Amino acid sequence: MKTPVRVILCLLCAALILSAPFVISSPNMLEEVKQNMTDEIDREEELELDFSRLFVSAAYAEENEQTEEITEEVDLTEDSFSGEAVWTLPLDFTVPPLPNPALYNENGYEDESIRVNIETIQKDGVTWHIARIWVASPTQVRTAVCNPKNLLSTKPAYVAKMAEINNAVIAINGDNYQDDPVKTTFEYRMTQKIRSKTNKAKDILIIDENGDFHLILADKKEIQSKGLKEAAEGHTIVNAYTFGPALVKDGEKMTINSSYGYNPNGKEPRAAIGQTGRLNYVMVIAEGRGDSAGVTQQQLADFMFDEAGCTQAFNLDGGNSAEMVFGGKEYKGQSSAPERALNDIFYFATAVPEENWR
Amino acid sequence: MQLWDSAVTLDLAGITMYRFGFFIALAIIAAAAVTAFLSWAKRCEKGTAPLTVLLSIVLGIFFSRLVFCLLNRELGQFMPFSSWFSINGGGWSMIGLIAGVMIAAWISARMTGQNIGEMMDISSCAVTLFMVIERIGEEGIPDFDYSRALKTDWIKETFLSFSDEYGTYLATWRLAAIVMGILFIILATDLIKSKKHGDTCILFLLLYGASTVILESLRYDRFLSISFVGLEQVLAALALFIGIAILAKRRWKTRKRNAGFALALTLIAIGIGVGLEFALDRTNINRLLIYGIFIFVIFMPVVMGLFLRREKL
Repeated sequence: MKTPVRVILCLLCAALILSAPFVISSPNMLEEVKQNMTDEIDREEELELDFSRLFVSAAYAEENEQTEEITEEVDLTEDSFSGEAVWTLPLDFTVPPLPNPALYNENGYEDESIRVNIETIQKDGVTWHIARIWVASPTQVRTAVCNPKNLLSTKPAYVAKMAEINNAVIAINGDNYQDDPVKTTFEYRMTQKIRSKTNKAKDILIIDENGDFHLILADKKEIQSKGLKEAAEGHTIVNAYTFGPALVKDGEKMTINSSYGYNPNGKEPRAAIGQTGRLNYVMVIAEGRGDSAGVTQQQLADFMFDEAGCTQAFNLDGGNSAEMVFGGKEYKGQSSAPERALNDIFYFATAVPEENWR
Repeated sequence: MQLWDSAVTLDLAGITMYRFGFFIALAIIAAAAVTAFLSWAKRCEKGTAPLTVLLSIVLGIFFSRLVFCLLNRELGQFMPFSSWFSINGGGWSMIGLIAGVMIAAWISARMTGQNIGEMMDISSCAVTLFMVIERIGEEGIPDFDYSRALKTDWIKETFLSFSDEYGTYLATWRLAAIVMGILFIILATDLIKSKKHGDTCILFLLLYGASTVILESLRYDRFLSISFVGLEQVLAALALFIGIAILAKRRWKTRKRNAGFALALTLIAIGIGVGLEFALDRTNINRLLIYGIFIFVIFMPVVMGLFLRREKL
């Protein structure tokens, strides 16, 4: 090879090397780029299905928050909690007040804004941990992620640690939405949109500004989008999960499709959340893969309807991910396994500021 | 468009630049210097070194980006084709880069009449040194390159750990840089001693494949992964298998039994590796013990490969 050619090759190499610090930004995709791509992908479906302004991004949610007042009615029915919504929490990732350590008792926690009763029962060879929660304000129904500044972060953390950092009175694992984005297509956390695509294989849970659960079943794109629009009409989507299956919908127990998701007929550790009334909820962990036999998704639906009395109930990530944390104690779906780090938690918080502790 | 606010940057002599890109530039300079020196020491055809370096940069970038785009599932589907070319937005695959560098070595050797095996040997050393500096450059990238939360106290107190509000983690990029540094010394020594062209490249496939299977297992940031299986880890296992397969093919006529055994051992080791990944995720067995077994199992085929490599034809 002649010298001039070699010189030219060297000069080209030098040019490429010098440009590297201004072109190569990161080994992984930058969040700004990732978010723009996600928005673009979602926008295509939103336009196609005329989702219009229902499934808007965080910017709209923030604007919406300022214009729509959140209903703060207190349920005073016989079975309800008598706490009044004196305090509310911002519907964002602000860390709520610390629960008063003096108000924990053997089976629960109670202050002016939240009451939690937790019990462990044995039934047909299965250990169930069931927590009943009453809150005074829907703003106490919350979710947390590992990195609130970057909802598309793939970083996971332990449920117990996320619960501790977010001052959760009680917390349960979410759907681990960054583990498989192909399956978790419609996701919101604390009014911020992560993704907003329909899902023909998965049921969707929407939690609105009143803390009410809405379940939209897996279906064809057009049918599910119609269900989503109906559920979200006139509401703010505060949190949304694409996982399931729906276990109880509008007061009716569901028959679980035998081909739904991961091993629906297997006896596995399971986690579920449900609503039993206005601002009344349950969280359930069924233990498995050990002394406790585990349950099928149908058995979980039966339990959520018959035992827990849910009008709406939704299955969350199970197996080794199933975990509930209350007062620093971990109730794991698979007690023999190490804690698995996940992307998110669903939790309830107290609204009582520390200066108002009794 | 520059993404200064989203990326980790540094100011050098009043010029703002991407910190990671700066380390990439340093890594390329180091790799280019190694290529030039070894090409001179091995009396390679004139012009082969600059051609290899230039093609390595171009094809390394191309294949690194291509593999990342094909394997990336973070967005819930394959990346839109238009974004494949938005290279300043980040997103690279190391195994893709290695493939690009090896193809570059092959092309440049063909173009200049240089022995292909010898050029691939040189590029193996160069790309390993590149990885040492590149891994150091990964320091400080948010939510990237960390491990499961550490539970072993003595590791927490070493420079191989770092902490955030959720816990203390293994600094996997530092460990990877150290491992690649050791690999570079081994490969450079081997290249000087080796008499058969291509042997150092095969050694690189074996050692890089085996060590990356372990290093990627330590990572817990879900970078290019499906559930608990890292896709770079799968490709590293494939690199190990390719290395063994080349050696087995070479010995097939004279040492059929040993060659077959090496191939079978590799597949068994990879199978056991999958089982150990499962154990890490699902059991409470001591992680140091699991990783001890993992290292032993995954380096068994490497030892077998070295044995095959040493046998006389």
